[in-house]
Amino acid sequence: MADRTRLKDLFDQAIEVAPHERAAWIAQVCGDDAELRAALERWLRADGAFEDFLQAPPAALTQIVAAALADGAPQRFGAWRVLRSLGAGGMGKVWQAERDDGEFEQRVAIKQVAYPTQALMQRFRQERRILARLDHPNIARLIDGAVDVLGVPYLVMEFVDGQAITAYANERGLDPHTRAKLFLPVLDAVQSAHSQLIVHRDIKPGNVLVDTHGTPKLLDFGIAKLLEDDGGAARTRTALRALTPDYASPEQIRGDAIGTPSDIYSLGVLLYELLVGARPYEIAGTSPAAIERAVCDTEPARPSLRMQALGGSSAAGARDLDAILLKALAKDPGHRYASCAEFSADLRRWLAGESVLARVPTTRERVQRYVARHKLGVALAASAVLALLVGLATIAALYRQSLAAQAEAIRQKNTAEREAAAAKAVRDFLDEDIIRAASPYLKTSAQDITVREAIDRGTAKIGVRFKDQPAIEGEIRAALGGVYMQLNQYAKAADQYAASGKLLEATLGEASAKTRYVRYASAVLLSQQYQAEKAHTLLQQLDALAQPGDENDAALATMRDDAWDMYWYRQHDWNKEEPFALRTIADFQRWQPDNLPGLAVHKANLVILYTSSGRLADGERVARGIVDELHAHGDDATVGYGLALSMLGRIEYFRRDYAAAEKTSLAAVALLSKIQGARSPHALNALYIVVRVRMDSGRYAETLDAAREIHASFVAAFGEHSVEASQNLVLLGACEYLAGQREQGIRDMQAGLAGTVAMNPSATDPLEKFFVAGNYIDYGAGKLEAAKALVAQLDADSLRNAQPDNDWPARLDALRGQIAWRDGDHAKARALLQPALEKMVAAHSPVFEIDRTRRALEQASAAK
Amino acid sequence: MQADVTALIAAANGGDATALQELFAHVYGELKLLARSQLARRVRPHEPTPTLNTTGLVHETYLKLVRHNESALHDRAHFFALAARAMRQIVIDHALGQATLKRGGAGRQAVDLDAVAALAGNEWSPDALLCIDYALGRFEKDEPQLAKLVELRVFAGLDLEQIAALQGVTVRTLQRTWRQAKAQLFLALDSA
Repeated sequence: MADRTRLKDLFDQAIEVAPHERAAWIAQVCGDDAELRAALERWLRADGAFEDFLQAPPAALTQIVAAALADGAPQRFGAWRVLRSLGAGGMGKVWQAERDDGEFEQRVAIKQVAYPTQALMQRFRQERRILARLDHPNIARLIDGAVDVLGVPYLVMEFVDGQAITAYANERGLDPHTRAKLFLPVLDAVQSAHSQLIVHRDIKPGNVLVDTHGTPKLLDFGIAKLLEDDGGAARTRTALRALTPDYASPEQIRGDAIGTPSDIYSLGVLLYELLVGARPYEIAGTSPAAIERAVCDTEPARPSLRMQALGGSSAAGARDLDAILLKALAKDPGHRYASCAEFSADLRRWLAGESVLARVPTTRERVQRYVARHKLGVALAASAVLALLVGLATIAALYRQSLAAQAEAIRQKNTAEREAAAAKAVRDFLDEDIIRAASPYLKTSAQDITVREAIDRGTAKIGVRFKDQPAIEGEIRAALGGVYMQLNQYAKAADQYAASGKLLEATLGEASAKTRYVRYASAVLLSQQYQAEKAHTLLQQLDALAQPGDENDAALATMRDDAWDMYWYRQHDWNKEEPFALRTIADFQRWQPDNLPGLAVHKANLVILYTSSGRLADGERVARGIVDELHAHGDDATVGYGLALSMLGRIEYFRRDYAAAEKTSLAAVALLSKIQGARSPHALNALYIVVRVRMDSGRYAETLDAAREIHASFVAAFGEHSVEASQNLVLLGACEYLAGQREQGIRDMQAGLAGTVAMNPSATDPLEKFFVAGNYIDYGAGKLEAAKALVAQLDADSLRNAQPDNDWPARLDALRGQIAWRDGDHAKARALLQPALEKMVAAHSPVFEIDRTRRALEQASAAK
Repeated sequence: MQADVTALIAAANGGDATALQELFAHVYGELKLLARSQLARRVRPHEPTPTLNTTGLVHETYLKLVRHNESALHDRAHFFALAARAMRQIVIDHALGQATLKRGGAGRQAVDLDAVAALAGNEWSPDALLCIDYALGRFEKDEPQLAKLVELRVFAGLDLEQIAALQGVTVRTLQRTWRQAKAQLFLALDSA
């Protein structure tokens, strides 16, 4: 190897030599040393190749470096190599990692502490040692704790591959006794920790997992204590931020001193949920006041009243269970079980059928809200968020159920690799974040979008994942259909229901209630998408499959009547629709008696029916009834309420109470946009009324933004050539025309009309034809024939439909009169226009129509 | 971060490996924190994403960590070299997540000829940086000074004038050293 120093020296000199002289120079300097020469020549070549390298500071490089500096995702923690993200826990990000030095095959969960403070770091060092001593088979072990290169503390914990204890029990359909037995190790674990003076502080289903061997394991022991800030007042806020309020004890919520009784309380909530299937209180809203009210002041409902059959246990057994749970849930820490050991002992007594030591507190009157769980999907039910959660939970449960079945089959074949593959499949599915996306704190529809993406992603994979399990796939797709309905993605919902129907028919048979339920849902969507014939065929097929015992199935009945209701609605046959609308309401009340928001949605359909058939007073009565009822129950942040407001606004509009109509409709828009997103069809319907109010009042310029918004939204939701988009293009065109953009307006009205007619003749709303006809006549040249055609259609329309606007005959005459005037037949014009004008003025018809009629009349009279 | 960084630097210079590690950790941490706060400060709606002044960042880190602003030139040079090293670590760690190159056998990166060709044209990408890292790994033992120079320029973003001032040499001398460094780099990449 050539001497490096010499080489570098020569190199320095060489680059000073002129290029054309270089070869000679090299030969001279290197002489016989071939190695040196070769090396030198290599260096010189390299020098030439990299001339531009970093000549100018490249922005790209800076960007890359900046990105790297700003990025927070770690690759490793000490000897642990990060595998993937497990999401965000209460204290910060969580990662799955494995040992990098190949020493142990161990998967761990690494939890980073998100907000380290000095005090925290100190406590971290102290507590870590204590927590590491927790060694119990039902506690996920704390393996290590350290500080990473950035100075951020992290904890390395045993990774538990399992699911929340409640989910575990639900999927397997465990009976109460088995559930209670499953809970005993949990109590033992907490007892063990308590005996070492370690309090958990954050017991909830997410922290009590049951692994693949059926062993319960507690996670995150004592972590909450690690995070506790020192400030007193700050503690409450921190506590609420870090804890799940549903499981927090009254003293935790109030910020008082916390000890082992707080854990016992949380265990009580967990056991309650495990046995009863619902939490002791429903916390309405997330305001601290609401939480405090629920947890600190409300008494939990007696478990025995809420549980399904207690599996053969006696009345005494039921009372004893009540006693146990209510003792654990006592508001006063001093009234609870003094230790987990006592709690566990009583539970064991109950299991053995012996009498328990807890005493039942006196009962009091209480009002409870109870959200029913339903097995298959969600029809037009509760508020969007709740329904979404139920739907997603159903999917998750069904998915796991199938995988559990798969895993079981695999286990029986005793092949290690395939068991790992099944576990991997679960992890992969969870990776889709479907479940995690549906956090209990979904507040606004902005998060809806992420959930939508997550659902779509999961949907795409379901066919592959469930290739050999058609029954499960059928149920999952049905649940998905319900979820899409809630998101107003009707086409996707229709696809899912259709697929589900086929699968369920193949596996459960066409007569099965589940199959028919799903196919009735398909019928609803078919009608909704203007495919009346298909819907009708399907409905008749399904009706023919009616079974004895159907009358007990309220869910099926609801869907069936709803399907017929929708069908007749699309047919504009109000007489036939009404009985179904009423029955749907009755069915739904049987099915979900406490679900007021869900009921409101169905009642809203009735309101639509009444207003479309001209029974405004009835419509208003029902609409106001919905509004008042929901408001009284505190459900005024729900879709049902929004729809009711929307209906009311529409009715007020028809009554010509424009000020009220605008106000009510704007409120509806605001609420529905907030819940469902600005482009939800329901919000847009309300916005439509706003446009009409302004148009009819002559405020043309103010209509444009809203009309554009409506049109754009329908284009985005349904496609540019959809019926809905076309209808609203007509509306937009009319607004433009009236606001002075005549050419644009004509173009849009024309295009819109063409669109609706081409798509579906029965979908063209007569109201749109009025605008267009009037504008065409006003425009004059070239559009008159088209106007005449429209008027002829309107003639036929008005004979067919009873209309809420009782001024239609007059307005139709006004149009005819205007046409006559344009045609030069002034006598006919006057004969039509005069009486029409009087009626229109008396009926407060739209301002621009009155103006035109008056102008035409004046001109026709002057021409005499 | 209460450690006396000056003392750490001194200890590290004296060969104390633990001190060097600790120092490195501090610098690494500070760089990231500072970078994030710098970026966060400037982002307002309607403003284009800010560019990070990496040299300024290293300066700020130095000022933050070292108690006395007037340290010996010697110490400052060492600090900057360390900071550049830390930046390299940060960037490479991140690039490993971004890169399209497959991992080589012992964790080393295979060299992507396209990336190298692009580099010659002063075009940069996470893959290119991985190549640079790889190349540095090949010759930094033999030519530590040259490798440090590359680190300072590429990862800490210093220009030749700044480095010359730091190291107490003339720009002209440094330009020659730089050309050597470039040649080394290319050779290391070329013979991969």
